[in-house]
Formats: sequence, structure tokens, C-alpha cells
Amino acid sequence: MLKKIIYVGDSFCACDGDNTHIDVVRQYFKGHDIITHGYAGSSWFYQRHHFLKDCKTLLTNYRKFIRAIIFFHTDNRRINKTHVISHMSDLDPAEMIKWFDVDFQQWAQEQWFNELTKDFSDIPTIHFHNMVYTLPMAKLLPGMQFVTPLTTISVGELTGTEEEIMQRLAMDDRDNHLSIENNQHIGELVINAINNYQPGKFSIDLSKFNLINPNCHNFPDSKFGTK
Amino acid sequence: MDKKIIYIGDSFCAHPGTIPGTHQYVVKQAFPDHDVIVHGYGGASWFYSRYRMLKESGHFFAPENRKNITAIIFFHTDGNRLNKQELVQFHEIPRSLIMQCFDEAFQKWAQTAWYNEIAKEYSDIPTIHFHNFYNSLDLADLLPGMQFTTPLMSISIGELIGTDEEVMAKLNKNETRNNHFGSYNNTILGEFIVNAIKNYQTGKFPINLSRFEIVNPNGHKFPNPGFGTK
Repeated sequence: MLKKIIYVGDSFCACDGDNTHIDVVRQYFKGHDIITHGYAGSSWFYQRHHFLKDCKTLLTNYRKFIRAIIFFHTDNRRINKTHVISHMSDLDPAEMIKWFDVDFQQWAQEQWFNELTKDFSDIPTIHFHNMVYTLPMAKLLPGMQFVTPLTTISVGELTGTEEEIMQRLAMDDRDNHLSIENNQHIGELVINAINNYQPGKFSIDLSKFNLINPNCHNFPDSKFGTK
Repeated sequence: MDKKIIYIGDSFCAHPGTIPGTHQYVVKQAFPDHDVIVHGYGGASWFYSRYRMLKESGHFFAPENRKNITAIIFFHTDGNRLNKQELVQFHEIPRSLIMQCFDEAFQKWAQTAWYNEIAKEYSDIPTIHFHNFYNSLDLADLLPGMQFTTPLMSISIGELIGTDEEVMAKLNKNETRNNHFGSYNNTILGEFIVNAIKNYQTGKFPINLSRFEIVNPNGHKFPNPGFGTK
């Protein structure tokens, strides 16, 4: 059986075509199956559901064939459903507050991170935080993780007012919210992490990435634009 | 008083220990040197009850205070309630919103995570667990401590006669009983809890229903049809 590299996450790992970071990893690990469970706009529970459902046999009987699981952790303001992808902002705000409780959403994601530690500590896991929101829970995760949010890179590629940048993020035509060049760098980072796997928390060396917006670190707070 | 007995749950334990004819009162009488603290709220989700317990009684769980907790009595509710820090009944939510947001698999996962949290956080304290309904029984193996695996609905419905619809009406809008039990069964349940605290033993046990006053032999069929007497 071929070794497996599994991706779990949202739009930051939803594209696996040519010139994406997943393709870079695929080209490097030619003797491996690359399994992707990246779904744009999805909640972590949706990702978890499809990952566990589709990889059930692999996780039950063939764990030693899993070279690594790469998680791209999303924010917890998404609707935790198994069959529908939607965000809290898709709902009428007046209706949304009747249902959602931000503290429950936070608690639930913490339990998901606890579950990852409980159930996947025997497998190399590599974690990216797509946004800043999951960083306070970083200590709950097992394995190797990068604590520089990927939105720093994604926003770092964009210039304009904050509104213009938000609009470009919402109507993003970049694969995985990154340019081809920065997809390449993320792919190389993942390859290096798999080859030199070491549990712990690490920053991403942003000097390797092509960033033109010096205010990208401010995202999602104000002043992340260039105008 | 330093010593505490803490209740957490829904309407099956929603009355304070000051009301005679409730199981909480029986426990309070049996342990006069204890504070009986009740975090039971009618219609509440487990997350709401958890939130209130941690907010109002969280300091009792501090390392220096935990030894003063004689027992935590859990009355586990239905997992399909709205997990919020405010008390919202499901019927108050627009159906369209429920269709958009509710996911039974997620509700089950969340209740499973809550049970795992109980096992992780409270295994050093005696915990006594009741399952109010049938649908939490499949998660029973996750819980620590002493638990009773006969759903309390068997007793509550066992007190009611009529068609299924009449029984449901008595349980919901026409409910007049404290904790969904008559005074007699409240007292028996209280004695049962007192005995569990005094003879605490981890494991799963059925409730001996012969001690309770039960007039409806079909209560165990709930929530399937045929739980009425007509």
C-alpha cells in the first residue's frame, strides 16, 4: 500500500491542481497518495465528518501507512453541519443571534483540538492556523504546528484599502488564497516539515514569501490596507 | 457550610432543596451539614447548565476546594437542545433557522465531548449520573462515577395515564409536578440519591422500579408510540 498524506481544512487547502501547494507536495512525494479534504467555506465539523468518514478504513486498519496529516484550521464562526457548507454571516443577523453562541462555538472547537490530541498523537500531524482566532487554543494541539496565521501571507499579497482587500478575499481567484509563488513556498514548507518532522510550535519565516503589503500583520484588526 | 452537594441538569432537578416533596429536599434533610446547590433549569441544554454551574459554582472546583464536594449529581438531558449561554427553548426558534443550523450528528458529537470533559475534569470527585431520557444511554460508557441506566422518563411517564397525546400534554404544557415526579416518587428518588452518596460505588446500575409508584406499565416505551394507557 502507498503511503498517504492527508489534507484536512477549508479554502486554504481546497485547490490541489497545478501550481498549488498540494501539487508541490504531490510532485515531491511521488510514491504517496495525496488525499484532500479541503472544502471552501466549510466548518471544522464538516471537514472532520468527511475526513473520518472517507478515511475510516485507513484510520482503523492502516494507520502506519499515514505519513502525515496536514490540518489547515479554520475559524469557528461556521455552521457545524455534516452536509451543508455555510457561515454565520450567511444568516440574517437577527436570526443568527437566536441560534449561535460564540462561547459554545469556541468550546466545541477546543474539544475538536482535544480530540485531535487524543486520537491522532500516534500519527505525524502538521497544523496551520489559517486565521488568528485559533491561536489561543494552539497549546491543545499535538504534533508540529506553525503559529503564523496564513491570512498574514494571503493579505500580504494584496494592496488597497481595507474594504478593497476584504472584497478581493471574498471573491478570491487565487488557489488556496495564495499566489502561485507563495503556494510554492507553502508546499516547500510542508515538504520540509514532513521530512524533518518535529513536534512543537514554530513561526513561518515570512522572508521567503513574496509579500507586498507591510500591514498584513494587522489583519483582521484595522489598518491592514495600504491606502 | 463547607461541604457541598451539587446538582446539574434540566427540569428533572429544577427545584431548590427548600421545597418539601422534592428529591432535592430529601437530600438536604439527609445531609444537614451540606449546602445543596442546584443547577437544574427547565428546558435547558446541557451547555446552559454547564455554563451556569461553572459561572456560579466554579470556585468550588478550585484545587483547594474540591475536597469539600461530597458529590455532583448529574441529570443528563436530551442532547438535541440549543447549546447557548441563555435559556432558549427549541420551539422559540424559527423552523427555517433550525433547518439551516441544526445537525443531529453535531449535537451528538458535542454531547459526547461534554461527557469526555466530565470524565477528564471530575473523576476525582464522586459523580452520580441519571439519564433523563433514553437517547444519552449510548454514551453511558464515557461517564465516570456511579450511574443509573434506567431513564427517569420511565418513572415520570409511569405516573401518568391517558392516550399518548394526553400523556405528552401532562409532561409539557400541563406539567404541575416538581421535577416531573409526584411527591411520593420524588421522595423515593431522593432516598435513592442519599443511598448512592452514602454507599458510593462506581459502575452502572439499573433503578429498582418496584419501589416507585407506577400506574402506567407502558412508560418504558417512550418516546416510541404506545407509552400511554389508552
